[in-house]
Amino acid sequence: MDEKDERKRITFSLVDAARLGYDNVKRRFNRASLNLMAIALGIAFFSSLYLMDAFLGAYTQVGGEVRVEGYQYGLMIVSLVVCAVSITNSILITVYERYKEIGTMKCLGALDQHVLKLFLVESFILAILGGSLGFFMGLIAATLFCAITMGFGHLSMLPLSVPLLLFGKSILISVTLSTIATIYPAYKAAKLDPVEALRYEV
Amino acid sequence: MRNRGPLLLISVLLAISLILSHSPALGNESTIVLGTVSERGTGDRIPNAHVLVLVGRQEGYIRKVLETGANSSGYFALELPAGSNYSICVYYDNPLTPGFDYVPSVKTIYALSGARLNLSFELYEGASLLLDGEVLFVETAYPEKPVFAVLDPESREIMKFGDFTLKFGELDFPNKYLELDPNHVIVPAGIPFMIGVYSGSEISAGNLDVIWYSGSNLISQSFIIDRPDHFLLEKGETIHVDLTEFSVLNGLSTVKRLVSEVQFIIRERKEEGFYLALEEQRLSRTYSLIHEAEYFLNQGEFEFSFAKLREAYTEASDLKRWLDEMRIEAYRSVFLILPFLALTASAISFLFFEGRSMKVIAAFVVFLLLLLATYLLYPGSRIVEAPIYFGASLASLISVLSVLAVLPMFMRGGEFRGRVPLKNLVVPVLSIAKRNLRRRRLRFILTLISITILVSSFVSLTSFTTGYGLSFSRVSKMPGLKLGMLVRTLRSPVMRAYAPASGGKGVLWFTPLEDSMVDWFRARPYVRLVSPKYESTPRRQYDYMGSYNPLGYIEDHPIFGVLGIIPSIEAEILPLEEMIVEGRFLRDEDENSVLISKELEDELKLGVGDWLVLQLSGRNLTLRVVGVLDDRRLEALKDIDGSPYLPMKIVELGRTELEEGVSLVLEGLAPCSAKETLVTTWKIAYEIPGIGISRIDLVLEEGEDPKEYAKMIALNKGLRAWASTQDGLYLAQLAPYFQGKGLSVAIPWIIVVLNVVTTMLNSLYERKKEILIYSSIGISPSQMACIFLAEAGIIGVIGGGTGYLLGFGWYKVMSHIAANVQVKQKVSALWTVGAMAVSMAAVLVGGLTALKGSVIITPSLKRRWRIDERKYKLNKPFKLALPIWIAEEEVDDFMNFMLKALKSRKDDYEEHTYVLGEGMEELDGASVRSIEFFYTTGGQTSPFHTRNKFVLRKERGSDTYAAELLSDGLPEAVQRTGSFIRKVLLEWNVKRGRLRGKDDDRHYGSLFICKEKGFEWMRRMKGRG
Repeated sequence: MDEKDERKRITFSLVDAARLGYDNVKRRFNRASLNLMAIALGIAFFSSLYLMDAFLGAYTQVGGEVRVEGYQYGLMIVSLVVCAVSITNSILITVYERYKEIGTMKCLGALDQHVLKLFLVESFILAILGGSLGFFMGLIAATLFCAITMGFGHLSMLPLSVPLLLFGKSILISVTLSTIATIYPAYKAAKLDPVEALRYEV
Repeated sequence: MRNRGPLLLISVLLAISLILSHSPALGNESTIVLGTVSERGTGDRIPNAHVLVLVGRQEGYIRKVLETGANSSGYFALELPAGSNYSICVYYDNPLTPGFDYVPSVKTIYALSGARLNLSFELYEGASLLLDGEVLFVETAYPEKPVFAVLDPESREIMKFGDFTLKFGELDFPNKYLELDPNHVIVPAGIPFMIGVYSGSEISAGNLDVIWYSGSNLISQSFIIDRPDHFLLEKGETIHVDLTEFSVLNGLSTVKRLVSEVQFIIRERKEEGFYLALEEQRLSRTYSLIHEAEYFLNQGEFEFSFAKLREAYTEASDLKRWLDEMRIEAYRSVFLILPFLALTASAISFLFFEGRSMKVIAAFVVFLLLLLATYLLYPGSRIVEAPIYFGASLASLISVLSVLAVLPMFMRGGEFRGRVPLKNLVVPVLSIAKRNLRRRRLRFILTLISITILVSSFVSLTSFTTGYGLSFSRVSKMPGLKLGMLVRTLRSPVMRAYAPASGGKGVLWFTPLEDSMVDWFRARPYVRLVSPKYESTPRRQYDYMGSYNPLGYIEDHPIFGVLGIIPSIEAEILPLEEMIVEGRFLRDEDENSVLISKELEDELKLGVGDWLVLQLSGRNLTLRVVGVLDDRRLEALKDIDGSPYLPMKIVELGRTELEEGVSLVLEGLAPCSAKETLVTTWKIAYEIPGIGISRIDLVLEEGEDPKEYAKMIALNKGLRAWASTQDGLYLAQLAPYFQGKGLSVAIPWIIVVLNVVTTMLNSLYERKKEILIYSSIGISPSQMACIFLAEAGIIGVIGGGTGYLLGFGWYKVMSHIAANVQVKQKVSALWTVGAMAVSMAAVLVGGLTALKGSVIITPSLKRRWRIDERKYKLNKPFKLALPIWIAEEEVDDFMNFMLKALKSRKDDYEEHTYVLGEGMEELDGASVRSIEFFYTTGGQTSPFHTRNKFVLRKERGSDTYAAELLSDGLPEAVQRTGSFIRKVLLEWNVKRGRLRGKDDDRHYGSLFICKEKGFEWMRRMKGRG
């Protein structure tokens, strides 16, 4: 049996990765919460801004003059970038903390791709949770803002498809952002030499 | 020699009589003036011309002394007192022609005693030009009364006929003495002419918009009224010219001139490297305002057109002011930014390099790079001359490096009262922080990146603008009692002079509206009803140093307010008539009638039809009560703008006694009660001193939009105008404003804080061992916190500096990609402080949150511990060593604290303790202090209870006490008791820290720093000093 076949025999299913990822999130709940909040805030800013723009756009058609200004989109992009940096930092910290665990996994036969998968799945879980939370936070913020400035009556002018589509976009952005931000730390973890990892002292 | 005395006497007497006979002062002689009036050119006599004799000159003071007329043959004769200058004016107007028929002729004479003067007046043929409307200047809402001059189109000089200069307006001569309206201009017939309009505005307290733009006390404006082929009138003809139209045309050219000037400046600033998207947007707004003004001008809606021009002018002048300031600010700021960059460069070099020479070289290189970036990105650096710029740069870096080199020398000192001075800690703390950052550089760089991006976004994507212009905002969602408008003057300055008792603070007064405003509004076609409210200015109600000062009295009852209204109109706007409980409401034709409140009626025992005497200062007013008003409803009545209807009085809000007999009174305004107020017609109110028009209510014609008119009135007249509409109450006024953009920068800020919290928490976790070592050598939690805060500080300084520069880089990017993000560029160096504050706030809030959330900083007390369950034996207590040492002098305090802490949990359900006793003994040469107590956790029936003895023991030769706990119970219960005691000890540790801070005389041990091969260690030192 060559190395290739042997590799095929070592399996690490997505379900296992998800279970392990979920356990890790639970174990490091405080840090995961902070990470989650960062994602949620970034996505909340994104979704609230686009929803407000949509609300105000509909309002403009009936004589409203207020529009979302360009600098706000700039700040939203900054939020997402800062959020990505924050995720990278956080995952990197997790990698350092779990050096020994990664080393043990590798000693037990885990492949690089399995470690990579583990971290990506963990980041995916956070992205889904953070993205959903952020979208709803943004929805509430935008609805309140528009209700106060334009009145509740104008809220109904927005078709339901707009927030639904935005929810999808929020999740997509959240997942993309989180994945991009996790690639480097996950890669670093995956390429870890098990000997070095087990010798590592925090 | 002959006697010549009688001859000399006669000669002197003759001389005196001769002098006296010719002296006008002493004699009663006069000058006789004989004159003829004829028409210039034909020479025909003009019959029945008017002759005016005036003292003084037209250009200066002038007064009418005599008025007569020529006879039917055109002759007249005057006898004038001698010794004065006179201006004799002759004019004639044929009543059958619409205009003035001749230009008045003026001759100036000096009246000599007994002289006879023959004067011949030749009148030029004339005509009339009537200027309708009003004169308006875009520069101010408060123009002075204008003067109209007839100009020669060739020379553009004011025409002069004899001694008569053709100037008209609200002048005594010619308009008032010739009984002409102020807007009536007499012009020569058959001669082309044009009209010059001159006005000026003197700055006064109410003339706020003039103050804003003009540096001088007086601004003057003028413009020409002309036709392409100039005016040319026939004799006796009258033409009307719309002054407002020409004012607007003049305003249009003024604004266009200003706007093109602003455009030129913007182009110039852009070439200098400034980011001006917001300014360009404001400029384009002025262009659209000009287009709107032109549209309204073409439609003949001059007032709206003028309002748009005023708005454009306000915007453009404000913009120009900022553009001028911007350059100066940028120039000055360079000299503040350079030391800031030098500090950042030094921080970077000190962080990444070792060795003094390396640090200095690195600082120079980094500074050079930052300097280059500043030169490319910050527009101010290109304005400063190159030698000055580079000289200042070098000086900044050398200064900062010198300070950094010299400062550590002063950061060493002996301990003070057993404590290490704070300054001793700075260098080692920074040194440890630096080492830690370098060890975790990847995370440090990531945190730094997020801080830098945050600061750069704060610099480039937030905008804070102050300016002056039209402010229009909804002040209430509810409309006023009536749909329409209400106007008031701008807020008056605080009347300090009249507030001696209030320590000169005073209260806001209202500035009355001019009476002419009522007529002005009545003349507006869009206004249906005009209702002025005459109101007394506030009077003091409280008594301090004779300040009690009601407006008047009725018998002994004080009256603090009087309202004067036009009854029929006021009743149409406000429900005053419905408030009558006895008698009737006022009528317009009423004389001496008054409405009083029910309570006042009862107090004075008056009835409808009775007369009352209002005693005012210096005079009395006798008025007849025609109706009685309901007190409560009147007091609850609000005007269109939502303010109380009743007049205001000054009341005492509070009083502070400064010294015996001298107090400071805090004043405030409050509405008068109904029984302190009289309501009467405006005619009566007008007679009372200190009463003016506080507001004018306006009801517009059907279909007119109050919001648009409110804006127009605010702009054109400089008033505050409220518009009461179905969708709420709006206020329009010219006022300074502040506009803040980008407050949502708080979101990335919070994300960065979360990032810092994560990093810090992890750092704390990772460095547990290190912290344990520090702790074991006596470093206190606060000193430990200093190390973390120093790390945060280093990130903050570098992040702030680089973020600030990067922010300027974003401006460049935005202008290159034409992103049109409308933010005001932060040219002022003060924003470096803002950038630093944002950066430091993020790292410190994050760092402190992490520190607070962690108990690892006092590891010896809180770290995880377990008892060895294998040692458990029935009835044999566990012996637990507690990681704390107590100095001799703090034993009593400590034991008291422990006792108090244990007794305080006597009634605690979750953690119940019961103290059995306290002991103190000498045992085998050791001093022992102890407390025996029971401990139960998880309720009375819980199995987790222990009998304990807390022991503090000092061995012979030692100067500190060690602590231990003897705990008898099940292992789990002992574990819980141990944790509980550790918690109490932790509380003591915190308290001890506070005591140290409070009382320097106490000595609990100290730190000293020793330097060993460049690395500084902290070591516990006991008993020094």
